[in-house]
Amino acid sequence: MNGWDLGVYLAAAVLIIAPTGLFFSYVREIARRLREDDWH
Amino acid sequence: MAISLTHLDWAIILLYLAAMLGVGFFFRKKQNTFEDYFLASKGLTLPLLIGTLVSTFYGLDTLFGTSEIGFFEGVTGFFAYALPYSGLYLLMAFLAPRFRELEGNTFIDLIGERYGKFAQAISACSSFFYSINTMEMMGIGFIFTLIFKIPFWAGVLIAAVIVVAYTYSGGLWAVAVTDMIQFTIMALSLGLTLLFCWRDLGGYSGIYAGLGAYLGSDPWYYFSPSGGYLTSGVIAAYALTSLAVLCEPAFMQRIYASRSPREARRALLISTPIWTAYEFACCMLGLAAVAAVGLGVIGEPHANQALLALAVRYLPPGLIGLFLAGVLAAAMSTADSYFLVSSGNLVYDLYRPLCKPDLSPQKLMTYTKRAVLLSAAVSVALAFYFERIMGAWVFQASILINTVLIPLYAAVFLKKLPQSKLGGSLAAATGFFGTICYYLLITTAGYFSEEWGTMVLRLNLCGRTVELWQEYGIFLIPPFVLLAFLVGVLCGNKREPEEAL
Repeated sequence: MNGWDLGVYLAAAVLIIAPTGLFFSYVREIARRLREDDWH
Repeated sequence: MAISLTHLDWAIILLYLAAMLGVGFFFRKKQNTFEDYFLASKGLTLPLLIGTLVSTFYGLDTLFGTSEIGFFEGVTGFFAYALPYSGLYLLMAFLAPRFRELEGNTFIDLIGERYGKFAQAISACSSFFYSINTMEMMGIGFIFTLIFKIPFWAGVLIAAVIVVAYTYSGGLWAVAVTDMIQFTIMALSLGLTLLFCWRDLGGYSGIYAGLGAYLGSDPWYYFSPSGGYLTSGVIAAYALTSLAVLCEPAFMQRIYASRSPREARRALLISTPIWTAYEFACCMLGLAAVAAVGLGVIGEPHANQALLALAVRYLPPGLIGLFLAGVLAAAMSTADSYFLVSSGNLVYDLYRPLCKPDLSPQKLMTYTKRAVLLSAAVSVALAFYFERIMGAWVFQASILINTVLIPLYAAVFLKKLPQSKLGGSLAAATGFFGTICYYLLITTAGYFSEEWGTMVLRLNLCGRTVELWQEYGIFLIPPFVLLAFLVGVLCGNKREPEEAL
């Protein structure tokens, strides 16, 4: 495994982990806004 | 290219399209004013901001364009074409809070307030030209054709109806909420494709061997940042095109829609590594596709379909559906945003200041909604009309940068500089009309170079042959814009800085 392999796996990790994490905080926020009907 | 889908793939694609329409339906009665509709009531928080920023700015041009460069030229597609953008995103993270702190709803507002209606109208027109969605509409039409086996025109029309339906009904709230879903699908599907493909091809050593087998020679230049042929001057020239980030209308709309200046900066700081990883993944998948052909894993695809060919080969059933939904998401998230931005240009930035300064917030919203339909109609019409879409894109980016960049940043960041209406108006007019004249000249008197893939005008100056490419407008015109601005500042009636903003 060399630097290019590491770069590729790092990029793949960012693209898999970042949206997953952000999606959970997005769902939490949307749930709160739906509960409070807060779209302003 | 034929794609066979399982029931699970179909279910994912149809569920995705239904979810987009459902969100639009939900938001149809949630807005009362222009600020609610166009700027999501200036209430976008971190996850929504990141999702809408990343997905809007990366459409099919990145997905297929960067992988195509990776296919032909290797990692230079990332280092020369994409990395300068990452630098600009990072810079923008530190500039964005200043825009958010100022009064106003759009960056065209700032230009109007500082330089008057003439500069505002010209800037609004340049932003409208930039935001016309032709490339994404053609791309979505192509993907619909591929998935549903329908004619291209039907694909474009169906896609336009779906995107317009939720954008018209729900404005930026619907766009931001759907963008987050789209961002998740597109990033996940790309990350998984990269992971599976790179591992199965044997990592760097396996791919290097595959590239060698395809070329029949040492493929060293595929892993050279300069591609083995780019000089530092050419790389610098490409880097200049990334300046569009500094005045990108959809970018600016999201900065104004953020809940606070701090939220805008944090969103941009977190988005930058995601954007960088996305570009890197597209480029490496393009390069990996060549190796896969060399190793006999896939047949030789058309270069701009390399990424699709790899996804179909390596992803299991269900994930192919997710990938295709991700491709649709990349295109739709960009298209919806620019429909909205261009409608705001027409109504808020152009019609309101010139014709109806006292338009109520409710009327502004109604007219902006109608302009979404107009903007979509123009984009669809041009999708059928244009054949060489990259040429249109170069013109769109050039006219925005040349018209807006210098007056806007002088207004916001050079607070000590005495400025006049004349300076801003002259600069905007020079950029706008200069760009139009330059492109008219190149396209009417020049020729299409098959060697370089662009329009070129050959001139004979004092016995020397000089070639002007259509791309050079972005370098040749700004010095004249700066000169016009300075002449206007020196000759015009100066306004005190504190009076202006």
